[in-house]
Amino acid sequence: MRILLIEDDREAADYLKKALKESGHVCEHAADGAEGDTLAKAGGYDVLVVDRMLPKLDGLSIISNLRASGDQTPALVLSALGEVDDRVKGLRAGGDDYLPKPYAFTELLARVETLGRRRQPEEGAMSYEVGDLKLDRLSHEVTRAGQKLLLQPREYRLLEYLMKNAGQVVTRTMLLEHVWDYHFDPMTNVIDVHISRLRSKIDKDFETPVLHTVRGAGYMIKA
Amino acid sequence: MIVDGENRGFRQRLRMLMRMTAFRLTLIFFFVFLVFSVALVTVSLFTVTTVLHREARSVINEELVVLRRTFKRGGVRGLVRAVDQRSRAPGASLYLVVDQQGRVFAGNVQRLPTKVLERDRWIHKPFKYELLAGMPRARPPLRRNGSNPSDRPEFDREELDQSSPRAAIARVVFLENGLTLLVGRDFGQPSRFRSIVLGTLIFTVLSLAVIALVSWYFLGRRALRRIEKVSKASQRIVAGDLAQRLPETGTGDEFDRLSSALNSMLEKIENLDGGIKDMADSVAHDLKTPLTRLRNRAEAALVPKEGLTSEAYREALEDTISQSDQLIRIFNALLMISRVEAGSQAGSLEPVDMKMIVEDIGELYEAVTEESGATFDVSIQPNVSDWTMNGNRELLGQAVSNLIENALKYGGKSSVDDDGNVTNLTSISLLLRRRGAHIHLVVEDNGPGIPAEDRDRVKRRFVRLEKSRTKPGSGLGLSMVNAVSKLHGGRLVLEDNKPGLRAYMELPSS
Repeated sequence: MRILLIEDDREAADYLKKALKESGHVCEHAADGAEGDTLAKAGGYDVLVVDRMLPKLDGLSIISNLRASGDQTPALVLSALGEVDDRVKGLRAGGDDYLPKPYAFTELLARVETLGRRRQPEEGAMSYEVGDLKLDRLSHEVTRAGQKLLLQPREYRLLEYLMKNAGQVVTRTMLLEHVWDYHFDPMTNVIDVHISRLRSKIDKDFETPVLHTVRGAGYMIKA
Repeated sequence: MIVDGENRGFRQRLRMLMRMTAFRLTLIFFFVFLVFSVALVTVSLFTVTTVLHREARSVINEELVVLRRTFKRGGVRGLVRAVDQRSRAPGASLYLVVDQQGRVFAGNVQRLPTKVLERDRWIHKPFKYELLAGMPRARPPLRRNGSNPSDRPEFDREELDQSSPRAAIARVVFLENGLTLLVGRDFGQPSRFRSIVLGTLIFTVLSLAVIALVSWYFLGRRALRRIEKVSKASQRIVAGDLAQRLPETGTGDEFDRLSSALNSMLEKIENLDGGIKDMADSVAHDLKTPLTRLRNRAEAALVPKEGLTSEAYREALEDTISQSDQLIRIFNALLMISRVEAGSQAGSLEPVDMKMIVEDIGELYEAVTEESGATFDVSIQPNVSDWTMNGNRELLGQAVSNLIENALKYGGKSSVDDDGNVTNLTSISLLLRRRGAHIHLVVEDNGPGIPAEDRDRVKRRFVRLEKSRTKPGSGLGLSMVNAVSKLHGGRLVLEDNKPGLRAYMELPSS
């Protein structure tokens, strides 16, 4: 994936650049708002990672400029502010996701990869398939190896989100955000328990597990 | 040089004086009063003159009527006799009877402008004249009856000043046989009139200046001294003494009201400042502790030890990361609480469905509570159809989740059976109910509860009860719930659940 990182903190930027490259992505870096704006307008990126507060031109303006010119490159907004209202502002300006600082790199990576994927055609697919696990988005029917699985509505949504991002790490906060639509950070392992319930339904009676725990990051569905 | 310096000092003082509101106000009043009094004096003098003229004319007219009649009856001889008689009477008018050649037949006027006698007419404009020596003086029109001469020496002096010419108005009548009759009234000395006007004006200006000085004293030295006190007190407050209060005299006037308004503002600022100081103290304490722990672990991992595997390093690093995550959590919670308390999110309140929030959060936590062996029960008061209120869904959801996590952490109750098996008997219920105009979002547990005397204290930041110190937590959960309740115009109530704690957010439903 080609990623444009617009971040004025040199140390954070160097770390991110290195880590993104190690994860197999191409990362270009702009150290201020004006440079970032120019690079973003030049286009050719799969994802933009934009710090909110930047010298010369703030991150939200860069994104709204892009959106005004019809460019829909997905953008992840990084911010030290990180409260409810700031998130709303960030998304209103055209940002696709919002990550408060400080963040774990795994969280950022998971979100960047999800955003990069969004442009790919399976976004609007009518059904998802991972190995022998099938999810029909019209009938809400889930089968594994032809066997029908009975899921609670929330378990269905959990699985749907995981399958939509199949092969990709999905973090706990991403699940809370997309499945429950809350953005806080629960202190107890609430998400883990839901995952283990889902796992008991889709993996328990089958030989090869499809729902994997990625240590220190989150979960992934993979055949 | 010295003169110059003194001059500058004076100018500086003058500029300072001009800057004083009282002085400026006094000066303005002074000039306004001055203009009005000059106008008033002028108008009244004009009026007095007009009245005097009118009176003089009517006296002249009456005399003329009598004298004409006398002339008609007694001819020239009768007229001369009558004029002579009148001329000698005290307070006499002016009389003159002359023929065409200018010979004086009778009268008390020694000299007057010849122009006066040229035509049969009124002479309204006072002309100068001289009386015949020994003739009684005409009563001056402006003299006050019965006034003691020593009271107004200048009047008497002028009256005695025979050399200065006097003025009069008169009527000149041409009689049938070529005689000219003049009857006039004395109008005093023109210079004296001018000096009266001038005197009145000087008196007005002087008394106004005195009034201005006095009012400056009261306004500038007394009222503004209070403002000066206020600004002095403010300076002390700015210098850091927030306990300072502005003086209040208790009269309830504008200054007092201003002072008391500023004082209540100061009260609030002092409270906020105290809050910030408390917060800084607790931040220092409650963030330093985990920071120290974090540092210690990293340090311990660096100490060379026999058989330290890379796995151990990994564990130490993971540990430091989870410690710093905990710190970040505390920091985020603190930030959120202060922002919620500052009300900066109040603008983002919009209609939310409380039932949905309770169901969603209930469903989110149901799994984890059951997994831990506790019973968890979500109930929503039946026969209430509308659960919408103005709120912030995110904050309310987080507040409910805080209450549930608290119940999970501290509301626990477990029993150990004979075989040493631990059974979790915790029972948590989340319920939504309506009480009048309020919506109650209740979380109950059957744990040890919070002693009545601590129930207010635990709403404050970082306050953790002794019993809970051993468990993980930041002591920010309830203060966050409290702040969210207040943001929505409600409150957080902590009650005895007998046994356990009942915590509920009482929120106005509209």
